[in-house]
Amino acid sequence: MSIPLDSDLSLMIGVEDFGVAATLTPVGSSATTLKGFFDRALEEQETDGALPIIMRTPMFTCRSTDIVAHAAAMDGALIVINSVSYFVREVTDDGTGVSELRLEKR
Amino acid sequence: MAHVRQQLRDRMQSTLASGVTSVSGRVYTNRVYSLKGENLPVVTVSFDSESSALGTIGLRTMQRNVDIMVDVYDKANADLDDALDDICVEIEESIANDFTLNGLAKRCVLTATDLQLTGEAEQPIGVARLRYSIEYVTSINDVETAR
Repeated sequence: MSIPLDSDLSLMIGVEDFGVAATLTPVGSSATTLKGFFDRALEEQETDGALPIIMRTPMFTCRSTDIVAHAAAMDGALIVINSVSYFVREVTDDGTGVSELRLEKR
Repeated sequence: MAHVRQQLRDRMQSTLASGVTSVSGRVYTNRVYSLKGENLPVVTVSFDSESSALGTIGLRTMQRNVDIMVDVYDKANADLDDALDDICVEIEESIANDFTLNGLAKRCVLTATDLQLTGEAEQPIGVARLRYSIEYVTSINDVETAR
């Protein structure tokens, strides 16, 4: 039996707390607004060179229902967060109603 | 004086620091700490391995072959492989113009190049590895002077 988490998630991701509003433009579609958590952690990236590189890894976490209609148009979609534009490079649905978008700075 | 191997690394570092203008002097030898994304492009010079053998029994000279890796790190949204190759042009031509590394080596030859791209971070990262084989000669009991 599925649990109706959507409304709870909507409250949790509210922009009143740590959430942010983002503008998503799926490939070939018009822009839409959604809410989510934005994170830009510093992570060490392993390379085939002698040294790793410390880089930012921007991620946007949102309700899966907010993007499910655009599933086929997310690869390369444009998302603007805090006035910075990113390309969506990877979408991971964790199966609990939450999706993570891996972003590349435009 | 230092081991000729160290002198070779240092010479490569100075040759590349002045010859590879696109990295603005960011050429490091034997660095062990992580690089920062905002500082790319960067070039590193590091020791890989060395083989040696007695060259002339009577004179007791050592024939040595050291492999030095020159790694180029860069980031770009597009044409990252082209950006890496542009830096490789500067590296190869700088080293070729200093073929004996200021007289320390008999020859310094590029033997392999590898290119790797990855897209896990804010911008795609690329690394080009140029492997140089450097032949040099020392006395068996004086490894601080190139012969």
